[in-house]
Amino acid sequence: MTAKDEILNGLADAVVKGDESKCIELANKALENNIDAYEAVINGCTCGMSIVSDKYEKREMFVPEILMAARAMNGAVEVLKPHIKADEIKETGKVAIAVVLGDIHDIGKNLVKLLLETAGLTVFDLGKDVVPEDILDNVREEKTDLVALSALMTTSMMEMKEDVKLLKEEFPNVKIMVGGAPVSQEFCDSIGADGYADNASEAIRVAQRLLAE
Amino acid sequence: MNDKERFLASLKLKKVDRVSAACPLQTATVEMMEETGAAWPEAHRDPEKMANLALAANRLAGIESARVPFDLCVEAETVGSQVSEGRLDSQPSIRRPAFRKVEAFEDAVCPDPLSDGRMATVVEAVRILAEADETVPIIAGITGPFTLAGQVRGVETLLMDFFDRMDFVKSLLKYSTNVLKTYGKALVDNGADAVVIIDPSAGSELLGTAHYREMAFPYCKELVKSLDVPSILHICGDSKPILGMMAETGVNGISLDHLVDVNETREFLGDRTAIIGNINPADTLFLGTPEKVKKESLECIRKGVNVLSPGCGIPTRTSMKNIKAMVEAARESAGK
Ligand code: B12
Ligand SMILES: [Zn+2]
Repeated sequence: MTAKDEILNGLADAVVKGDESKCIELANKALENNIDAYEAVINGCTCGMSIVSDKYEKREMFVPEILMAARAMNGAVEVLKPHIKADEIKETGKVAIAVVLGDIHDIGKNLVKLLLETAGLTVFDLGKDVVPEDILDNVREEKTDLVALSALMTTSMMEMKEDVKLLKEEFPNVKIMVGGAPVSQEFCDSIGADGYADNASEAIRVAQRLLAE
Repeated sequence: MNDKERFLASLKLKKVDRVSAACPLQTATVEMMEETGAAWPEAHRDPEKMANLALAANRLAGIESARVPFDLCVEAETVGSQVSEGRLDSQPSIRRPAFRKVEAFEDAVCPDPLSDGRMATVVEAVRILAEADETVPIIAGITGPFTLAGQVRGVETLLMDFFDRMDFVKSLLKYSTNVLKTYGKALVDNGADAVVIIDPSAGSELLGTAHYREMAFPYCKELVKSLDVPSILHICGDSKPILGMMAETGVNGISLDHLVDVNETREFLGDRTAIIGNINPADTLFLGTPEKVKKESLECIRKGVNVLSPGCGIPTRTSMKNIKAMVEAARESAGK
């Protein structure tokens, strides 16, 4: 294993273990070893987070551990983010991201946000449990090109439908992408959203496709 | 048998004339609020209205119990968490947990349920109900110790505290258990015929069995032991992995989410507890037709529930017709 692989694997492993100080240490080590910061985020941190998701599905890990993993990952990201090279950032569009009203599940949203940022997009994070007016205000004031909505509960999916309706009424040209565990391509089509992705890396491709349209 | 006799006998697994249609979970609907004039959010804070609206489930829809309160924030609010008031069709929710800062916990006190905050409102509503009708069982809902700890600390923070400050977690759990024991006793003293403990944050998808065993189970067991009336435990979601421990808390009945199969539960639990449930509250009760409700109800009865009830609280926009269809299914089961 090269020193680089060792650091990236170590980073993924520290995320899985929820070890925040180890994450920060390895993020610094990555920088010292001239590992590309973007690569450290993608192949280290998010790689760890997807192992966490798998383990959750297999009932090997539960929410307390997921939260620790998310916190550990954020620790590393804080260190790495300022070093993501400017030439990798191609200003391609403005995205607003929000977890819909009534829903406070924001771990997935934060991951999607992180990858959108690392892909060079300007991201407005509107937070969780967001009222539709805040989303409309953002699009109005920032001339946002793309709105990304996340919902993790079957109940809050209805709010998503409402948000899409309001957005499309007022801003027919704004693109909307949706995601979150209970959301599907069919649901996306049925509420008139423009794109769907079932994980964060796919979300980037969908965002880029929608922005290019 | 009257409704109270049947319900209490069902919880003790004694012989009954037919399945009970009592409901240990939230029962208020917008239709009931409109007909009685006792509406949310006022009914969360006015004992007369609370009692009226709880009894409306029986008087207007035929549900064979009166259940208070209608939301899950009573205890957390009384000990100092800030709560949004909710709307006509949505429940109050926690806005600002009381002990977000660890230091704030140093000043924590165990409230007096007879005089403090909304605990006193619910105790008073129970007293009014006890005088109103002695044939309808009064069911009082309280949160589980783990859920309450999450509401006063912030659920996410509490879950991370497992790794950061375990001693604090344990003190918080002891505290919430004490608060609930005192509150539970006041509810029973004032006329509650049964107590249902609602512990959604302790769900198996959230905690897993190992954390449940350590952080939720012992405290819930202690709470159950302190109650002098039959008790029920409701945990949302797929409770299958923790059913054994849920029964071991000593509760008389387990209120099953619709995700869990009644047959499998019965097979697993045998005659250790009564089973209450488990009509799908959203897809069937709220969105379905009366025919669909009836069909699913009969299915639950056939599988052997002791009390026919929804798998979680009744959605507020559920039609009276659908609730009546559920009750009818229970009544028609007599002699079968
Ligand atoms: C963690 C968690 C919590 C945490 C949330 C912490 C936080 N800060 O997010 C806490 C403990 C607070 C919580 C609380 C509750 N929860 Co919860 N929770 C979960 C759990 C276990 C995991 C969710 C998660 O973080 N997954 C990991 C992330 C990485 O995955 P993800 O969110 O799916 O995101 C990925 C993709 O979906 C996609 N994606 C996500 N968003 C977007 C957006 C776009 C635009 C795109 C393109 C892609 C995309 O990319 C992400 C990365 O790959 C789920 C179970 C599950 N199977 O999902 C239940 C679950 C969502 N919760 C549930 C419930 C019921 C609740 C509570 C109501 C329980 C209660 N009564 O206390 C509360 C209140 C929640 C509320 N009002 O919002 C239910 C929802 C049931 C339903 N009706 O659908 C679930 C499904 C559990 C269950 N089976 O019962 N919960
Ligand atoms: Zn439930």
